[in-house]
Amino acid sequence: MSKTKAFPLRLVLAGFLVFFVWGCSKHNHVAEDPSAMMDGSGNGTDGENGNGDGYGQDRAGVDVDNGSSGFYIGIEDVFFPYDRYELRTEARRVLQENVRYLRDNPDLRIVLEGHCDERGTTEYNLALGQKRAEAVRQYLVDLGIEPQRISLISFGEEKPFVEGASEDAFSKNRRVHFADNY
Amino acid sequence: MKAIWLSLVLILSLGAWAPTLHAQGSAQDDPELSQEERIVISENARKKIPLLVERFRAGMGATRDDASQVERVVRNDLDYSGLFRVTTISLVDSGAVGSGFDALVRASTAIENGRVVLRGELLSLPDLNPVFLRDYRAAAKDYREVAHRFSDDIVLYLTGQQGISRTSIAFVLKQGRSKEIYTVDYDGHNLRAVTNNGSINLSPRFSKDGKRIAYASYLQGDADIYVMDLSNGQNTCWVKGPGVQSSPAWSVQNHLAYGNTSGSQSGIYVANGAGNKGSRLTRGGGINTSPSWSPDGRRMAHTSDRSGNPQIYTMDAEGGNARRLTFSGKWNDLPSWSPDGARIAYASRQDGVFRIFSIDASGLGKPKQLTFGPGSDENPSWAPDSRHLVFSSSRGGTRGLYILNVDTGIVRSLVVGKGDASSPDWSAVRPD
Repeated sequence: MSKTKAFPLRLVLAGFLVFFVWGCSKHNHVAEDPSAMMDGSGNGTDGENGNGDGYGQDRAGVDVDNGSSGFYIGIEDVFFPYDRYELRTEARRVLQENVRYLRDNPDLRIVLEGHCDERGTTEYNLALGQKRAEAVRQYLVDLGIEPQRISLISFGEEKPFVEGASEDAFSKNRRVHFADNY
Repeated sequence: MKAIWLSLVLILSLGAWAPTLHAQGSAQDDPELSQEERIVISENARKKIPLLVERFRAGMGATRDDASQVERVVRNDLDYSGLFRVTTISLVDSGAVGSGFDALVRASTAIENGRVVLRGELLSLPDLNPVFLRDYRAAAKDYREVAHRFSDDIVLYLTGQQGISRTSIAFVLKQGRSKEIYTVDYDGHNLRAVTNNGSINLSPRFSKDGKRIAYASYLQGDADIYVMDLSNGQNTCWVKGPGVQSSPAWSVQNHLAYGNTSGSQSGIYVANGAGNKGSRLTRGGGINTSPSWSPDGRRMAHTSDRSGNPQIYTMDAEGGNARRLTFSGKWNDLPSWSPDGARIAYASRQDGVFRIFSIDASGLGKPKQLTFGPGSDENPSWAPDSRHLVFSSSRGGTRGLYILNVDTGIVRSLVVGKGDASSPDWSAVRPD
């Protein structure tokens, strides 16, 4: 599986502070502390680079991706509590960083992918994923990102980033994923 | 009180339509009473009709095996109905039939010019008076269909109820990274692919005439509503973006309700034809999904999080006049309105997993828990008889389909082959 290959490569790149577009799938992911996520205290980052989950690798091979599974160093995904679609303090902090990056890269167009954990229902989660993506879009627009640079899609629980039924997997799957759109 | 019980017994003995109507009417007058009635009715429903089935004979052009195959389909149907206690006897024994049986099923199978002819007969016991005698014909390969028609006639003549042998279940089957729509007969035979597009296809729902299936699909990037015409395989994009279109549902008037989420809005819409987004029924910024029509198409159940978490509501078909039905639990979802109009089944999250419950469609009375796991039970959909429910469950390790007899509580597995099966929808009865 490609995710095991991608992980060390990402570390090497991060180690050399290489800054370029990696079109396939890497993720300078700010690790989340699940307990922080649950209590909403907003300090869910330990700054470590390398959860090693290969985000963006295991997703269903449906044409909708069409190159949009790529990641830019400098852009992070944002996470949500169970059955919520409001942005928490930590998510806002991450988005402020992302906005800085988007301002520095004005040609960059993004797709916001809304995702949910598998514990809800397929139908409701489709709407929930869209609401999450919309909450992020609205925040980015409020901070001055041009609306036409942003597209939205919801995958509900259909394309989990992490397989498994643990709280850790669930917390990683409740996210809005930033994908590039070119 | 005694008079009520007496009248109930009378009504029950008059025929199977009566208890439904009676329970519905009283539920609006007095919720306490309707609960009591329901218990009586369900006790009564458990009293199975003792039925003798004579081994099916091989007629002209048919082998013993042909006759046995047809017989097996009929016996399965009678068994699955949950209405009968079936005893099979060989031909020689039939002269020595004792008392204790209400009726005798007698049949022969013939093959004429590549067509199967099932001559089916129902006789009352002990007098052996004919109740009906009928020939059922079809292409030989469709022998299951003639058997199902005979079974449904037996059910109809002995109970006054519509049999469900000629029904199918549409569902989602996971295949690697894609999810495709399939149909299967209610007894697990005739598995057929509806989609084969390699994308993610979700939430199939039969039209009331059984000729079309609406579903949500990522075929063109994001989730839109498509309609597949089962007679000619023609696939039509019914409602396309912006945003997510999900959870379609046909009314008896062939109006298609669905959930749309785009911008900050997530509402239920009703489209009257292809290519038309239709009108919005719900207001507000919360999530509204999973519509399910009342059988007359005048009300609609759906899920809404307007109270802060997902709960079941009903509203008028034009929107408005909303009523919240569920108050217990923090996630109640996927309502399915029973074809007799009386109950709404739904999935309710309890201790981390879903269980199937039902509640009186009026909202009066307490919810009744129908499934008890193990695993998570979701996506209830009623059979046309309003006595059976199909649902998906993870009780077998992977997700599969199961059929519950609501009267008896008995659950059987509906085997549909390899892969996770989910999101079942039960069709109406196929026309002759």
